[in-house]
Formats: sequence, C-alpha cells, structure tokens
Amino acid sequence: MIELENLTKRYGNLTAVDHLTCTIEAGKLYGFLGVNGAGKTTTMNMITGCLAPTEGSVTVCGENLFLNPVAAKRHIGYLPERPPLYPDLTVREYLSFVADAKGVPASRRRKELTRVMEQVNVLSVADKLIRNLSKGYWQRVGLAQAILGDPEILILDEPTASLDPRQIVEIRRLIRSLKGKHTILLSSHILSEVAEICDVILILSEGKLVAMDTLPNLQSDYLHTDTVRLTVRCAANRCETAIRKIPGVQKITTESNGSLTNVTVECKKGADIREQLFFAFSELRCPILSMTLHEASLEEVFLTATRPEETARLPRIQAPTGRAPRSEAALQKKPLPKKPSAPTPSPEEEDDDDYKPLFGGKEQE
Amino acid sequence: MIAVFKKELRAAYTGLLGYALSAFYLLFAGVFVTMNNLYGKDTSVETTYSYILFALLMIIPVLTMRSLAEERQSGTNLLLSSLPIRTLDYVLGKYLALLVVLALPIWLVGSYSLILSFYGNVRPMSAVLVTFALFLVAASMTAIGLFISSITSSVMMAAVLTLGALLLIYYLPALVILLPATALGSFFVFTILAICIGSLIGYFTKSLNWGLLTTALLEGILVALLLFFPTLLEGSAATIIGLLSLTSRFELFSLYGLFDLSAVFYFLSMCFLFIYFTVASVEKRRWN
Repeated sequence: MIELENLTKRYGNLTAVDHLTCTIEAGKLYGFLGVNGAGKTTTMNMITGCLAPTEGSVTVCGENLFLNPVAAKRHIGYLPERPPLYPDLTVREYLSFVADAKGVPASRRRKELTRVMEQVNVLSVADKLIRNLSKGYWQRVGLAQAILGDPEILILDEPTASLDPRQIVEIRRLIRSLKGKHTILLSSHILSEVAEICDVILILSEGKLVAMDTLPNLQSDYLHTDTVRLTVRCAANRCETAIRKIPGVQKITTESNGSLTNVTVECKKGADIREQLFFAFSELRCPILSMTLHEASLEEVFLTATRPEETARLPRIQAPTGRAPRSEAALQKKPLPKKPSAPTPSPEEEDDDDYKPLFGGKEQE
Repeated sequence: MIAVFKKELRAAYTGLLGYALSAFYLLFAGVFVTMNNLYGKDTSVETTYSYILFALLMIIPVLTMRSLAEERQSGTNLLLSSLPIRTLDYVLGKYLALLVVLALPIWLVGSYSLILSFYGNVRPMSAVLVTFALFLVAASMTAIGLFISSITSSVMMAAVLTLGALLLIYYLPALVILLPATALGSFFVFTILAICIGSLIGYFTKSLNWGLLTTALLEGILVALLLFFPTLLEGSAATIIGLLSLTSRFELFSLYGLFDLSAVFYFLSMCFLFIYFTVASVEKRRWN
C-alpha cells in the first residue's frame, strides 16, 4: 500500500528522518509513536507529498509520489496536526472545495458531502462559518476533508491533540469505525490511545524506526524479564528464602504490610514460575492471597525502545520490508529480528549527495 | 485549478476585501475623473489613467498579501500540497481569482468613457486600449505581489515588501535619472545587479556555488566591457534599468494614446516570469 524506502530528510546538519524503510499494508491501523521531535510529522509530510525527502522514495499504491505526485495523492487523505481549514468559508463550502480539488465528479458531489458530513457528525453545522465552530468541530471537519473522496489511505497527525476527553473518545470511535475500509496511519504521543486502537505500532526515535510490530510482540520483545506480583500471608524473610530456591528467579522485592507481604519477583523471561510459587508457599502453609503475571505496558516498551543507548545500538534498524506483524500465537518467545535495512553509506558518499534539488531519490538517478 | 479559482473568488467576496478594494478604487478613480474630465471638460480618459494607476499601488499589496503568506501562516498550505493538484494549478487558480477581483472595478471605470461620450467626442478604441493596458499593468503587479507573498509567511511583511517593490517600479523612470552616467558608475550599478542575480540563483538552486559562478561570470563580462568597450557602459545603467519600468510603458498608452505591442508583450512576460518564480518558490519550500 505504502512503501517507504530509505526515506531521509536532513535540515542542514540535522537529520530529522534517517533512512526509514517500511511497508504499510492495506486495511490495518498503524500507530506512529515517538517523542516530540522524533520525526513523526516530517515523515507524514513526506508520505503525503507536502515535503520532499533528501533521499529515498515513497510509493503509494504503486505510484511513485515524487515522479507521479497527482496520481499518488489521489489515494491519500491527510489530516495534519493543525486542521487545515479556511475560517472564512462555511463547512459545506470548504468541503465542496476539497471535493472539487480531489476530482469528485459534480454528479456525486452532493451525495459525497452529505455522506462525509454524516460520518463525522457535522451535518448540523454544515452552513456555519468554520471560524465560529469549536475545536472539536475543527478536528471533525479536518477529518471530513481527509476522508472525502474515499481515499484508500488516511494519514492522521495527532488527531486527538488538544481535544477535551469527550471529544477524544468521539474522534477515537470515529477513527475505529474507519478501520478496515481505509488503511490508517495515525501519529500520537498518547500511548494508551495507540495501544487501544492500533493494530501495528511503529516507534520512531531520533528519526530512526526502532520498532514496528503488534503490541503483544513488542511487549514480549522489549521486556527482558517477567514479573510476578503476589501477596502472601507470611513473613518477608521466609518469603525470600522460599522464592530464592525457585530456578530462574533474578530479583525479589518484598514489602511488609502487617501480617501480609507484597512480593515482586523478577524472573527469566518465559519462565512462568507461578506454579512453583504456589507449591513453595503451600509447603510453608502460607496462603497466597493474590498473584499476577505482569505484562509490560506500551509505556515501558516505548521508554525502552526510545532510550538513547537503544537508538544508538540499533542504527537504522528497521522491521524488514513486507514483514507481517506476528500473530499473538507466534509472539511468545521469539525476539524481534533486527537487521539494518540498508547499508549505511560511507561518509564520502554522504558528502556527495548532501543536496538533491529535485526528485532526490533512486528512481530518477 | 478551477477548484482553487472558485474557492479564492468566493473567499474574496464572502468577506469585505473584494468589495472594499473595489470601493476604494472606484472612489479614487471617481475623484480623478471628476477633476480631470468633468471639471476639466475633457472627454479623453487616457491622461486620467496615469493618476488612477497610483490607486493600484495601494490596492495590489492588500489584495496579494494574504494569498500565499496566509496559507503558510495557518497551515493550509499542507492541504494544498496534499491534494491531487499541481503547484502550478493552485498558483494559477489564485492568480486568476485575484485578476477577476481587479478586473471588475478596472473595467467599470473603463466604462466611464461611455458616459463621457454623451458630452463630447471620445476615441473609443483608445479608451478601450488604455483600460486594457491598465489591466495588464495591474496583472503584472499582481504577479509580483503573489511572488512576494510566496516568499514570506508573514502577511504584513508581504504587504510592506510588495508596496516597496511597486513604489520602486512606479518611480523607476524618475530614479534612473539619478544613476551615474559614466562608464565606471554604470559598472558599479551593474556589479550590484550581478550580485543580486547571483544571490537569487543561489537561493533558488540552493547552491552557493551556482550563485557565485553566476556572479563571477557576469562580473567577468562587466570587467571586460569596462576595459575594452567603456563607451558601451556609459549611461547604459540608466537605459537598461529604465527598461524595467512598467509605468513608462504604460504612459505610451495613457499620455500619448498609442498602442504599443511590445509593451503588451512586456507586461505579459512580467506576468509569466513572476508566476514562474512563484511556482518555483512554492516548490522550493518543499525541497528545503
């Protein structure tokens, strides 16, 4: 659907996006994560043709975005971070302009406008000036312009930023309803949002793609130990002695709470020690009141993946092109294979192509 | 292109801008027609047009300042860049809409000759052609304004720069007289021009080398001229820079009632050149 190949953007000495290679497949919802300044917006601007890359290429539905921009852009609907609205027009006038520019035939235009306005729920304000609407409506009108003409791909840059909680829920519901029909690439730094609605998560750090997988796969890849939390009616020192005997245990933390002890056990990844814990405490005749195997949250995955040493360790790491995110069944223990996407050009080579004025990409060289 | 054209035209007349500018132009032109033609008992509007031209200097910066600078300021340039339309289409769409906004009052004032024809002899062809020429001057100035609007994201800056550029063009015939007539004087004037051209080329190609190379090449030619054919340089600065003047060409129509085809081509070339610069400037921003 979208293929990014060695996509790079440099602003002088700053590399905003660094040799990004990946394939976005049809029908899925992709979540683009990264701290501010990681290169999310720059990447999205390049995918939508608003910005030209210093190197590399973008192919949208088989059309090269920089050689065939008009044909490629027909497949894309883009909602930038700030909805691109004309406050002096009414919602209907604005959408009618976008429909016109997207080449929606005049015979279908009225129907298409009504469909889109109903879908994002702005029909009631269709004839109001955009300047008089609230931020939530701006976002919806922005989304309406993106889905107008039914493009296969939707690129949404932080669609829920600066909205109130109710509006966030509404927009999220709306995005979820678009899934399947459209391939969606959504950027956000609200981790819970991405964890909740996205199929595949891409993590960008300092312009490099450091991870691309489903959330369960990422959780299994980035958490190097399993953690079991339990509450036992037992003295702390007895607990520690009992747990230490279990093979695979790496770290024990205890906290006394009256006659109870809260224990956190870190053990080797994949070594599920819950049964051994059960038998160890039943031997001591100490009842376990609660026990849970803790899974890494997306937050932990994100913090691990975007650690500077992690980014430095994985120069130009990329999920291999065309690699399907692994299924939940397959995720269990296999670590994410990380291999460099493209050979790093030598400094000499980089000096030669510090600026490519037009159509800087492999295709037209 | 048609989508952008329609949207721009609608935006101009949804707000006050289109009406306000037309009203200002009609008022300004009305004052001069009243003074020159009604009180002066003269049925030819041609001479009045050289005063009316001044009104355009004030209208055009206000008209063009928003067109591209505001798109960047409000982020709507991202919409235009992501829509399946070419940069040329959206620049042309905007330009044509601006021309329509200008054309309405210009041709309305042009029709005053019809009223004057009831009171005396009017040369209809000359009256039509001078209006046509005024429209072409307005179109050239609009292209310059549009280009300036594309190089800045500040609306005010665009207005001030456009006003400055248009005033310079307007007063160019008077200013060239001040230029030195000696060969050395012309050499210095052309050197400054060579540096400007080199900087522009450097800016557009984003390559310092190209800029320097152009400047060096032009400078080489100038040095050669100064050393071997100094007579060619004498007074040439004033002549060549004077050629850039829009007003002196317009005066052929307004003061002398002549139809100068070369002037028409000159105005049209200015339009094409600055539209090209605008497209290049918008495109360049994406490649930065």
